[in-house]
Amino acid sequence: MPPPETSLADVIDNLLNRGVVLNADLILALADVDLIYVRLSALLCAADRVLPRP
Amino acid sequence: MEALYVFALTGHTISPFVVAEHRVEFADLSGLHAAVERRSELPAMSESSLRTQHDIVTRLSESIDAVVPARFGALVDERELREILAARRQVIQDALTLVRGRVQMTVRFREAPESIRRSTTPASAAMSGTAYLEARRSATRTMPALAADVARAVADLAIAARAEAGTEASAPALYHLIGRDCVPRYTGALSVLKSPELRVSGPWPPFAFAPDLWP
Repeated sequence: MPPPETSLADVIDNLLNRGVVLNADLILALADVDLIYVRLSALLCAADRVLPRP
Repeated sequence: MEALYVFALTGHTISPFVVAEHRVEFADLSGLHAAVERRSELPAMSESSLRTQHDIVTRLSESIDAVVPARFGALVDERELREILAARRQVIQDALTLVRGRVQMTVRFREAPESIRRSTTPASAAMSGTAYLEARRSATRTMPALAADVARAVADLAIAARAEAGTEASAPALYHLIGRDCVPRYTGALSVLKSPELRVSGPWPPFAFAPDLWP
């Protein structure tokens, strides 16, 4: 099966919002990451909102 | 000082490989395996670095039957990582067992429910980060009614499921863990719903089924 087309929204969601957290520093930074996630989502893709309707 | 940048915890190892000049090798830590790159600094937060890491984890998932992906930014001192893994060994082993031979499918709902949009405080430049996060957390979080139809449609395929109610920044989403050979059946089951509100993506490494190691 060919690999799925990887949208930036999926990349951001998978890597910034999911996945196991292994370092305590990242726990402390999660609020910032949350904001980064929001900004990246809004600025770079917002694919959930802007995908054209079929 | 050199540390380990962790891409994933894995059920076994494969030969080291290189993706976009990043050498991925395996560390044996407290009886668990970690796919790592030896480096001293975090990668810059950029679309390029995110895509590279995603490609690396995807390659790991294609080659190894049990992969628990790490979140972006997992730069850890080796001794510290060894201690964390030793302390959470059983949780990690359980997660590896859960994801073995399985992949993640993601279903996003294009529109946030009205309840979320109405109750969400819009972000503003004057709002502090703390106030902004509190506003986000206080937003009403509900799943759209269509989520129940999706759950029913794939009930016989989903080994595990996670639901993420939407916020003003992200649409509601469902994550399903399914067998690697079940992807066509999964997408077929959802295509029957014929809903323009759904966006199905995957298969992905099981990012949404990584365990929480911290109390």
